[in-house]
Amino acid sequence: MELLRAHISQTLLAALSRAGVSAGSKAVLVVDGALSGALSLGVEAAALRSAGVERVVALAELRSVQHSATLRVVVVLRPTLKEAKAVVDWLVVAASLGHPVHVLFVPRRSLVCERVFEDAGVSASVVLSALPIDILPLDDDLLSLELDNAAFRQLYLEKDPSCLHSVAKALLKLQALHGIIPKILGKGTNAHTLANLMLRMRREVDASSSSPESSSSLSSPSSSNSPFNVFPPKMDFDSIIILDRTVDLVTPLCMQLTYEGLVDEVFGIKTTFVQVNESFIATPANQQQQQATATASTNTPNSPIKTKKVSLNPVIDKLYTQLRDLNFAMVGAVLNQNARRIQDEVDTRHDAKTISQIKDFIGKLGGLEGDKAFLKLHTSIAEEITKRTQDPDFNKFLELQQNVLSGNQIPSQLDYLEEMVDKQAPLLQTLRLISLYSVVCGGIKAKQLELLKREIIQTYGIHHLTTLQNLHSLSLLTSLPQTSAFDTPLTVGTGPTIAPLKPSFANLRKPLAVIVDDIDEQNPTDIAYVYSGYAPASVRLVEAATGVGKFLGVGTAPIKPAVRMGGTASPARGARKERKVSWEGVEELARVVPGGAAFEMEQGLTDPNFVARSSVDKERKTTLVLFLGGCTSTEVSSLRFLSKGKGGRQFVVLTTGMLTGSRMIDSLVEKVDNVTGEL
Amino acid sequence: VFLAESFELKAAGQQVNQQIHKWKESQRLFAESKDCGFEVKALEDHMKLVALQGTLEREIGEMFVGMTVTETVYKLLVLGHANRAAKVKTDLKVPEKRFAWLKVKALVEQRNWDALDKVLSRQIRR
Repeated sequence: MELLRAHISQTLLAALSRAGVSAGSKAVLVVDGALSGALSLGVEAAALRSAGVERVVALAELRSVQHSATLRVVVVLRPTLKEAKAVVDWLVVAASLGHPVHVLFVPRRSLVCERVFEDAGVSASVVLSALPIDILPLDDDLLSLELDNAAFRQLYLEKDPSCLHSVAKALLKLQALHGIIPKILGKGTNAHTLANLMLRMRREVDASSSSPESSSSLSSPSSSNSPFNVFPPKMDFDSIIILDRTVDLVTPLCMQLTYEGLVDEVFGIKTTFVQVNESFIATPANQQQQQATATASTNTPNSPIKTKKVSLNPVIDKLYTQLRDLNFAMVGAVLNQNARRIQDEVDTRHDAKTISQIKDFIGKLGGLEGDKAFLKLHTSIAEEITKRTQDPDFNKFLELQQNVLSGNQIPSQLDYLEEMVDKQAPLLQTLRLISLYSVVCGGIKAKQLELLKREIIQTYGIHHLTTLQNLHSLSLLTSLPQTSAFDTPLTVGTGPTIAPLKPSFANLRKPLAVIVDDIDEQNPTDIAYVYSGYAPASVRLVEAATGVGKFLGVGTAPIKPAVRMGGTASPARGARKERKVSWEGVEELARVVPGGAAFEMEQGLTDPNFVARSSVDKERKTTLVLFLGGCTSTEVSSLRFLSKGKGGRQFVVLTTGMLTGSRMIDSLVEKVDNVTGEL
Repeated sequence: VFLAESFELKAAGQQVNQQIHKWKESQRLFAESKDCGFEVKALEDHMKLVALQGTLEREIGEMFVGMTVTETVYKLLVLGHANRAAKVKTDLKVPEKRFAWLKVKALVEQRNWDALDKVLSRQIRR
């Protein structure tokens, strides 16, 4: 992902120099709050400083910037009305002094925003341009377009495919950096549209890039500014799997049980940044204090509860790397272990006798301090999450979730759903659980559904009539056909928008082995550990297509978990590992999974001779998994788990945004401004 | 069709007080399509609620319009208008269970432990 980071920083720096910012010049970079995290992923502060940026200001503090004749101001923002208006308001006051203000829209400008500037009559004093940064490397194996919830709502509720354009563009850029991805697998209508769009765009690029000689001379993508010139003759990814989110709506609805997942559920992670209570962060001052007194107590100066943004950056924060994919049940132990290790290392100073030993210790001190700070942060976060997980409501939620998933139908489940509404539980939680129930069970009995809907409307407000319709049209909330018994596997799709005959979760349970009973949270052997027994169906599908992982449910007969676990260890399975990425052999499986048809296509490489070379020197193949409409961090965790496995294949995730069930539902909830009720 | 109706509904929802005819309009639209019986009824109930809230505002002198059914009942209970709460309950068919929850919550809010004790012991005996 270094290539991508370099690309982002280059793009930004090039844009800055176009804006007249050069080394030594006094420039102020004003960054939209939503983007500051994103930019910091790609560009180091030092690089900005050497490029002539004197300071970086958040858009909210724009007023503090005094425009003067010598100052160059560059504003970076998302093309949204609200932000554009804020800039215009400031411009009107600041008047047109000195250099024009450069406004960079990420990832592209929009007509609406341009109009805002025109209408205010300030277009003379600004230069508007686009800053094409779309893919953000959240981690080495996780790329995100950070389109947030909007993508999910647009694609699946409003059926507005315009964001596919951005995704296709992003894919092209990725291929310009990492080489053509020859094999395309996908499932779902939107995935298919995207694949076609991307192929068409690529043909346009191929057509415009002239002769093969010129393309080979330009083969280093990092040196060319425009990424769409040529595709380098390499193949970092040998295949891509595109999945519609509707393929697996169950997974995001479930409460995530990995550390990262829970942090996201409880605090909300935004481009690797998370807002936490300020007291969680060890400030340098009290670290020193601790150092002086050498006590283990972590009393921070008590300030009024303030939140602060901290970065969960896996590159710096090694502890987080250790923790994030673990089932939360394990987090305490690992934290404890780390605390011990740090304490032990601190204690070594008592043993330091010789000068060189002391020197060694001093050298390590810096690292230890850092470790300590991270330890404190994660301990505090874990404590906060524990508070939540010990809440009876949370446990009820979980209990219901696990029962519903494993197919234990208990009549009291519906009663509990009703009770949630009666107790005026948070709307999102309620809807999430109700949807989960409905999706998994294939629907809710018409009479009960009616009752529930009435309860919801009477409790949360009439405007949720639309919310309920939204859920319905996504088949998240459907009624069972009246005549059928409770355990009928198929629902006749009352939500005709998804599929006329919706394959239900009940049919998936066995062939995809989504429920694994004997999970070991300590030493996970299967991806099901991320939900303490439920394996995300989406990831199972990826497993099926690539033939990695414990799950080798090729064909139709479900293999018993015990057999599967023994199976992968034996060398006889070794041959399977070289299986190419394809739906072949798992067509049946792909068919029962909802969300539209599966498809497979190939795209030719620019340099045909290249294939032979690449397959030799690359022993670990990499597959790009693209989630249209967002993915959860548990899915990322389980794919990471697969990468670590013996499958010989690595996975890199590209998503339109990070999702949690609440965020997914939230994007479907109708917002009314003058709501008096608590939402 | 669905979307158009939704927007209509949204527009209606935003100007709560005087726009009853808007609701009527969307109700008519819902009525046209077959499987929207629920939506029609919900809107009807809502109009009933707003009318009821209007009367309550006049009689009690507190704000009610804009609240949901549950909130209305709760507020009435907290203010000690048990009879009126019961009326809203029967008019809008609030299930017994939810009403009981609200009652308990309201009693807690009032710090009326004696009454709470009575309600609970009655529940247990049942």
